[in-house]
Amino acid sequence: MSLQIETRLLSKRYRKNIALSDVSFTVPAGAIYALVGANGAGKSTLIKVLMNIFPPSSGEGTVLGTSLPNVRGKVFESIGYVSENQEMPESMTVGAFLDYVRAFYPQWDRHLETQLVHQFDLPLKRKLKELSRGMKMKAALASVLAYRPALIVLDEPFSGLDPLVRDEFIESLLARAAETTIFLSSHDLSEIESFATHVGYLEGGKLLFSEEMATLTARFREVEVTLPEPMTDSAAAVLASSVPATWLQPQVTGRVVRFADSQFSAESEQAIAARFPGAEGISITPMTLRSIFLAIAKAGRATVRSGAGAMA
Amino acid sequence: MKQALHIFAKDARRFLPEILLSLAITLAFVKVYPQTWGAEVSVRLFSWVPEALVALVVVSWLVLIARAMHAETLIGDRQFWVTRPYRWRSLLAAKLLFAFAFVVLPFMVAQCLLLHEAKFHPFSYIPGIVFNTGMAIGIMVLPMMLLASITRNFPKMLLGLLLVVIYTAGLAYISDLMPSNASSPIGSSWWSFVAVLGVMGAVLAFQYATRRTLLTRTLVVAAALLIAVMVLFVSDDADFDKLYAERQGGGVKGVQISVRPTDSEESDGGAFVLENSKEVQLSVPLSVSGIEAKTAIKAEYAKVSIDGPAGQHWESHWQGTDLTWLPGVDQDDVVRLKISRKFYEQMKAVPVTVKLSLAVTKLQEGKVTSMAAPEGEFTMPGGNICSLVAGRFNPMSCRYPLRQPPLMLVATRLSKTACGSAAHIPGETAPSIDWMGTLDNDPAEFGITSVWDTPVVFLPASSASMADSGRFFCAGSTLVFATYTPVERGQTTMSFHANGLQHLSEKMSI
Repeated sequence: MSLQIETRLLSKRYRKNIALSDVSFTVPAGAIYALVGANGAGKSTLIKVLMNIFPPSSGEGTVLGTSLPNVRGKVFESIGYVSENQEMPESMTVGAFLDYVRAFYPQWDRHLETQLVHQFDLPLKRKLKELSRGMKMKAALASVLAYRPALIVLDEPFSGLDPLVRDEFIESLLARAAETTIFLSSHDLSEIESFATHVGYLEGGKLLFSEEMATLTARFREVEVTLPEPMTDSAAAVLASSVPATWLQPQVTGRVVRFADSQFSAESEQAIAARFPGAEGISITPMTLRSIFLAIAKAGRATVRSGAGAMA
Repeated sequence: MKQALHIFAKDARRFLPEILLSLAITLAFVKVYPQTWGAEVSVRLFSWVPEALVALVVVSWLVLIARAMHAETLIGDRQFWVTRPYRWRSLLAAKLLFAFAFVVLPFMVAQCLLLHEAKFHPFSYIPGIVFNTGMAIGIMVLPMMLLASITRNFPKMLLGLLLVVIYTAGLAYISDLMPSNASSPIGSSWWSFVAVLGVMGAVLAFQYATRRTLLTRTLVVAAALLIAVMVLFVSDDADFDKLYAERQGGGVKGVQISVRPTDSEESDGGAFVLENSKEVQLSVPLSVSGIEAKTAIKAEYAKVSIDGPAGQHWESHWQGTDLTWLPGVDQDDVVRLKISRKFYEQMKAVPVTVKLSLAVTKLQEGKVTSMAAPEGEFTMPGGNICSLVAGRFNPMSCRYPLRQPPLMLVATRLSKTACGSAAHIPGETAPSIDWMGTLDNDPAEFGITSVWDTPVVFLPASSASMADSGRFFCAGSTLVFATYTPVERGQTTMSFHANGLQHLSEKMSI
């Protein structure tokens, strides 16, 4: 499978501040890759480095097979980029804007453009500066989808959008997912969980992991062990310090021990039973993306980087 | 090219109001400016309007260039266009095309219209128009584009412009404070102008190709510093000495120029303090003799070197003078030079040795044409147009296409009594002359206007006192135009002692 994006030890520093640190990951063709992380984690910086808006301080990478410094000009005929804070030519009407950008793309699909204008209910005669934030984002997306780019890059596309617009946005993206690769950043985990095929997690400029959504959700489990008797504080302290590194956030409440297993496998259940020999019950349940990220964020462990499932 | 045209068309549509406003200002300038021509200027009440329109034309260029360039600003990380398939060459070409179409082309058309209005046929002056346009591009359009390329928006561009003004004023001020700096009046040679243009063009292209604004700004600052160093410290005296070779005596064959002894009682001990108060003006009296018939001697530049008794030394750079001497009896004249006030104060009462150098040009009289001057407008030899209001003091004004004509002497006889009045005595006239034109060979003088209009100020032909000179030009008086061309250039240096610089200052009232 060809790689649409590939980076090796990509770093970006602003004087003494490190915005990105040795970021290495790949995005295969056809993927819907969600880059997640808290505000300030470095998501937008990574996207801007990939789009050659900023040069990296070190490291290298390719986008659609083109090395980062050469991602410009003609290469953008195959890339569609939409950002929440992009400065548009505000004094243009939507129609004039579409007319203007159309000429840059030989593969522009007029029929699709008409369809998107209709689907998004875009007011062609209104100026961009008169549009709501959601409408402006839809106009930007229409101007990107209409030329059927091989790679769509979206920086926080859902930020500040009302649910209806967000759904329209996602629907239109998914409608083109078969013919393109989508790379998007978001801190809205519940939204991306429904359609992302791959996920990467950035924290403090470091990519903690990058893997397929299926393997990620498969290897994370919430485990709840019910003990015959309440655990003493000293025993709980011993437990907390001796559990495997892959067990995140062990908590003891009376007779119940809870943790998130970040490397769950068929053998894990036996290992847990062996760790708690007198347990009255062991409950193992799949985790939502949100609870996985919360567990990782709270644990603050870089060591959870996956070995088996990681794509990097 | 297709992409460049597409971006250009977008800019043209988007900035149509600004374009129309700029064209309207240019048109107003073309309509109003001719009213400043002629001896009898019709615009009196609003005499500032034509000059204000010149400034407005330039401001409209600034606004147009800023708007077009900042539409796809090169600074920032949020512009939509940076992630679109823009080719930097196409983008730069589009902006250059915009500047050409809406700044350069209207400027050329305005020049043609002004020439037409001044009764000169524009097509006869194509080289001059192209030259003046080239100067406008180099001095204004390209620097404006460069400034716009390294600023994010118009306010920041204005801030940049303010820095440029401060830099230029500072450079001029420092240069003025350094009278011994090496820059000579002929130092601004074409190769350096072309080199600066080339650097500006290259930096502009670099910024469009890389969008590395910090580096581009650093390059601009480095270039500005380099220019400052060249202006202040790099000597081009070699070029000057080559043009004006050192020669004993008068600088040119047969002509004797010497310092005329002065009576120290003439001086009041003070010197004329110039505007910046850091300098004073020295006046060195000269005596000139030996000028051949049908020739004239022009002292174009002068410099002075002064040595004090305790080894103090001060040397000026070449300074422009405007002294022209005609054949006849020995001529007395005064050359005025700026020197450091601080040095003057030290040396004003102590013996000094002064070395005065003059760069002189011998001019040979050429074609002489006489004509009876009619009232109103008339065409002078060479095709330039003069207007004359008889009976007035300083009655004549001439206008030239793109540049002043080659140097010529205009002579006439001015009446001592008002023409047409009861007291008019027809024979009571005195010879009067004025020099007009230039020795410069450039096809144009840089200006927003393509037509230059200068008054002809007749002065007594000899050293007769003003009381005996004529004052009034009467219609029908004979005007004699004699062309002069340079045939020899040279440099002469003369040393003399003075008992203090105060003896070289003259009584002047401010």
